[in-house]
Amino acid sequence: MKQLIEYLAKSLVENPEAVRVTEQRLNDSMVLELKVANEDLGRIIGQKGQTVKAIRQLLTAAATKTKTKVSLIVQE
Amino acid sequence: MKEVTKEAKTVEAAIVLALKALGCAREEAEIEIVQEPIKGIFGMAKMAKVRATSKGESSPDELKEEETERRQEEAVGKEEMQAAAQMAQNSIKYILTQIGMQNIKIKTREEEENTVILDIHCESEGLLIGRHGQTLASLQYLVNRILHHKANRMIRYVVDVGGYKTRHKTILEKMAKRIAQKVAETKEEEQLKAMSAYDRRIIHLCIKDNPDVVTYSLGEGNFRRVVIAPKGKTAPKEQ
Repeated sequence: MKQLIEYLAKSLVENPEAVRVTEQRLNDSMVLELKVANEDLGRIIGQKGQTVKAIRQLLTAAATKTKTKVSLIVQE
Repeated sequence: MKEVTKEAKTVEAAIVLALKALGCAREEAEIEIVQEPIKGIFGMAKMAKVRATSKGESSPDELKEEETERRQEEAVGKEEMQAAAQMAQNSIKYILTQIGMQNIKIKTREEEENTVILDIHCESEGLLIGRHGQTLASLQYLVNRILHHKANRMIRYVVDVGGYKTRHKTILEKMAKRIAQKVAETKEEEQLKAMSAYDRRIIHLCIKDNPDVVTYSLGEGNFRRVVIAPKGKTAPKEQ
């Protein structure tokens, strides 16, 4: 799932080198934190949060598949 | 020499309208702005007005030819389309593998100009479609964003899973026809449930040729829904 976010983020931004994803696990749940370059923040979030919403939707599908809980935080 | 006067919300839009009516290019016409648009408190107090006079003898036929020429230029070449389809396939495959899907097969085809349709077959297709096709819509949106970032922006990508969209379209059309008939008989309008823009379009197109009813949409954003009304009734003005 970490790779999924990494791939999506790197494909959407202008500055792929600045993409960092960290994961924290707690029992059967996971928190992913995504960091991108400041000027790419808009590309990740999208209009009215449309892009980040779509990313989370795919993440939820992946989590359902592995029967875990996952949340995504986009860091400013 | 021909002269037309057109009104529109903006000067630019009025010019476009006038040129279309004349059937000539911008360089071939004399354009005079009669009225700049004035904004009132409630929308437009005065529309923009322009007068255009054609200088040349360019006929509408010539314009048509020009237009088709431009279209052909705009149409993306076959090789580029194939390359784009391949890139989209790879991208989807990678995403699905990361989600944990197995036995992924993707068929690509081209139906309309500059549109690639990618039909995915894999296990647990239901999960990939999601509630009301939400997961599928997200996947399609992201694939479009990613590929427009990497390659030609002219190409649209339609992502389908196991023919879900085709099935869904047939269901919507059946429902639309059934309700249209009911409205025609009872002469009472009926509101459908809230739908996405794409789904609403399917309904509008399906009923557009029915002489007994008209359709329009009501509501904002995620709550926007189609209303099927008996003929003669006009849509309420939207703010």
